[in-house]
Amino acid sequence: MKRKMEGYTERRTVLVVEDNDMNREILCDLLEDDFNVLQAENGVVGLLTLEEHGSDIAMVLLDVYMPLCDGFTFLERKRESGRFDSVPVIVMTASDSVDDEIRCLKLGATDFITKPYNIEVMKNRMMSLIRLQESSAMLNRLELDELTRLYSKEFFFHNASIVLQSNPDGRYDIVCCDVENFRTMNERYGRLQCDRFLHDLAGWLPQVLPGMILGGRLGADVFAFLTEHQEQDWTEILKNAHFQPGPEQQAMKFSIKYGVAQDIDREISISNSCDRATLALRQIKGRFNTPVAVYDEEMRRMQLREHQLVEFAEPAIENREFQIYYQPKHNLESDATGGAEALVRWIHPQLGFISPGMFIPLFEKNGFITKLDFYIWEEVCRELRKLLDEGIPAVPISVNVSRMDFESVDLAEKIATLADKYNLDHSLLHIELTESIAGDNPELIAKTLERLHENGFIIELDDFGSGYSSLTSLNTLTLDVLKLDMSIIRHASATSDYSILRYAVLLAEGMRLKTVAEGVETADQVAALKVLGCDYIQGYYYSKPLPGPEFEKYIAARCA
Amino acid sequence: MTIPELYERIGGSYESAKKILPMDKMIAKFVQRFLTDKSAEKLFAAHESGDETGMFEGSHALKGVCANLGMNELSRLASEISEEYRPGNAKTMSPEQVEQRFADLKALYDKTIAGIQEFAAQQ
Repeated sequence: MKRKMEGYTERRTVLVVEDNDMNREILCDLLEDDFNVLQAENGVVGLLTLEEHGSDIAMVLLDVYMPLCDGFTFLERKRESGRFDSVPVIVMTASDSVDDEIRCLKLGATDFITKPYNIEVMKNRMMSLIRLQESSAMLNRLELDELTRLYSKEFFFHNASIVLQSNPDGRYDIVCCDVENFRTMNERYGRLQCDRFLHDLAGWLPQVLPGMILGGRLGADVFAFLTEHQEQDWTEILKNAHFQPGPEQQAMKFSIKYGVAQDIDREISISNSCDRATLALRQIKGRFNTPVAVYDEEMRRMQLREHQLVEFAEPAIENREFQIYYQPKHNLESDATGGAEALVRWIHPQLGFISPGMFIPLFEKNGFITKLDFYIWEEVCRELRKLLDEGIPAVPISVNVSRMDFESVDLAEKIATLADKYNLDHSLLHIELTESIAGDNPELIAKTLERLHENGFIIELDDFGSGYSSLTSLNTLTLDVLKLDMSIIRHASATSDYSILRYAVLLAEGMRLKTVAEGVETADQVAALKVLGCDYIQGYYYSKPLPGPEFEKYIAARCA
Repeated sequence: MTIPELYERIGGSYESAKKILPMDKMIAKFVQRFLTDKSAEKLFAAHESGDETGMFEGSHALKGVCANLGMNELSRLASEISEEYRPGNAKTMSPEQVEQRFADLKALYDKTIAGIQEFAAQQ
C-alpha cells in the first residue's frame, strides 16, 4: 500500500547527499513515493547537482561524514556561492553528535534529523520546511502589502532610496507609526476587526502627513512613511491628528505612537533611518499623552555611546580599566566580617566612571560578558591569594556568573582550574547567580550547579524577592545561600511590616540555606534582621564596596 | 525463514527495522543488500593497518547502516568504536578493550552475515 501525503499535490525534487550506498538507497526508496529524488555520493557531486538543477531542488538532505567533501564543507561552499541560499538543507546526523548539529546549524543548515530515520516524522518536517521556504519566497516577491496597500518592507526601502537618489538636494523625514499593544487588541477585538482597523489607519495616515511621498508596512502594526522635510515640529503637526476608525471599530480603544527621524542622513540607509525613528518611538511606548518622539542628538549620543562602549571593552581589559570592588558581608552571629561580594567598576581614561547598569546589559547582549566575568574571577583569585600570602584572614568572596557563562559546558571545571592556579581552597570562592538565569534552561543550570558543588564551591542565589522569585527554582537548584534583595528590606523598613522578610528567612532556614540581606543601611534594619535570624548583612551600614587595598585594611582590622 | 525468524537468529530487532522500513519487502531487500555493503570491510581493513581515520569512517558508516536495519547491537558496538576514533575525541579505552570490541563486533558481524546468507538462499 502506498500512502501519499495528504494535501500535497505537486511533487518536489529533493537531493540526497550521502556516501554510503545502502543508506542512500534506503532513503531514496522511502522518499520516492512522495518526491523526485536526486542522489549524490559526496559533497562535490552534491554541489555539482545543485549547480545543474538550481532552484528546481526544493531541499537537500545531507550526510555529515563523507570522503572527499563532507557535510561541513558542502555547507560552507554552498554558503560561499550565495546562489542557493533559498534551498533549505536538513542534515542527517547520528543521535549522539550534538557538536556536529550545532556546527551544521552555524554553517547555515536549516534543521537536522537523527538516524535512524523515522520516515513519517522526516517527510512531514521536510514538507513544512519546504512550504515555509516557498511562502517566504512568495512574500518577498509581493510589492504591495495586501491588507494595507502600502509597500512591503523591502520595496519601501528600495523605493525610498530611489527617491533620495533622484533628488540629490531634497531633504526628507521618516515617520514611523505603531499601534500600542496591537497583539492585545487582536486578542480582544478579533483578527478581522483589527485588520479592518489597520487597513483604515494605513489609508488615513497618508492624508494627514504633510509632504507625504510613500509609505510601507514594516511589521504587523508598524508603518513607515517618507515625507518631505517639515520645518514645523512634528509634535505640533501630529497633535491634532486623530484617527477615527470605521463604524464597526468605533468601540475600539487604541493608542498610536509616532517616531520621527528628521532631515534624514543620506550617509545611512533608509532602513537605518527607520531604526532611528523606531528607536525614538520606543522611548514613548506606554507613556500616556506622549504620542510623538523625534530622534534627537541625545538619542544619537546614547546610540554612539553604546557603540563606543562595545568598542572600548576589549582594550579595557588589557588596560586594566575594570576594577574590582569588594563589599563586605557582616556575620551577625560572630559580629565579624564573614565574606564579601566582588563588584566591577569601569573607569575609562576619557569617559570616566561608567555604570555597570550601562555596560553589563550591553555585554550580555554581545557576549563579551563571559570574557569580563572570567577576568573578574581571576582578579578575585589573585586578591584571595594576596590575602593569604600576607597573612590577612581570607574570607570567602562571591563572584557573579551570567546567563551566558552557563552556556559553556565546562563552567565548573573552568572555575576550579582557575582557583587551583592560585592554589585556593574552593570554599573561598562563592558563586552568585540570579534566579532569572534558571528560567532559560533549568536542567542545564541544575547540572552545572551540581558540578560546581562537587568541586566544592558555594552557591548563592542573588536578588531573591526582586520580582523573578519562584519557589520552583528553590526546589530545582541546589543552593547554599539565599541573598534577600534590598527591595524586600526597604519595603519592610518603610512599612514596618516585616512579615515577608520573616517568611523569607524562615523559608531559607527550612531549606537549610544561609541568608544574606542586601542593601542594609540603618541600625534599625540590622536590629530587625538580627531578631529575624538573618545570618549575614551586606550594605552601606557596615561598608560600601571597597577597592582592594582598602578592603584588605578593612578585614585586617575586623577579623583579627 | 521468515524475516522475524531471521532477526531472531541474528540478534537484531525486527520492531526497530519495521519502524524505519515499513514493509517486509523493503526489509528483505535491504537486509540482503547488507551483504554487499562495504562499511565493515573498510573498518576491518583499517583496523588491520592501524588507520584511525579509516576506523572512524568505517565504524561510523557501519553504525548508520545497522541502525537503519534494526541491527541495534551491531550498531552499538560500531558506535563505541567510532566514538573512540572520532577526530578530536580523547581515547577512553585501553588497547585490550579496543581489541575486545573488534573481536565482539567481528563475531556478531560474521553471525549476522551467515544468517542473512542462509535467508537469501531461500528467497
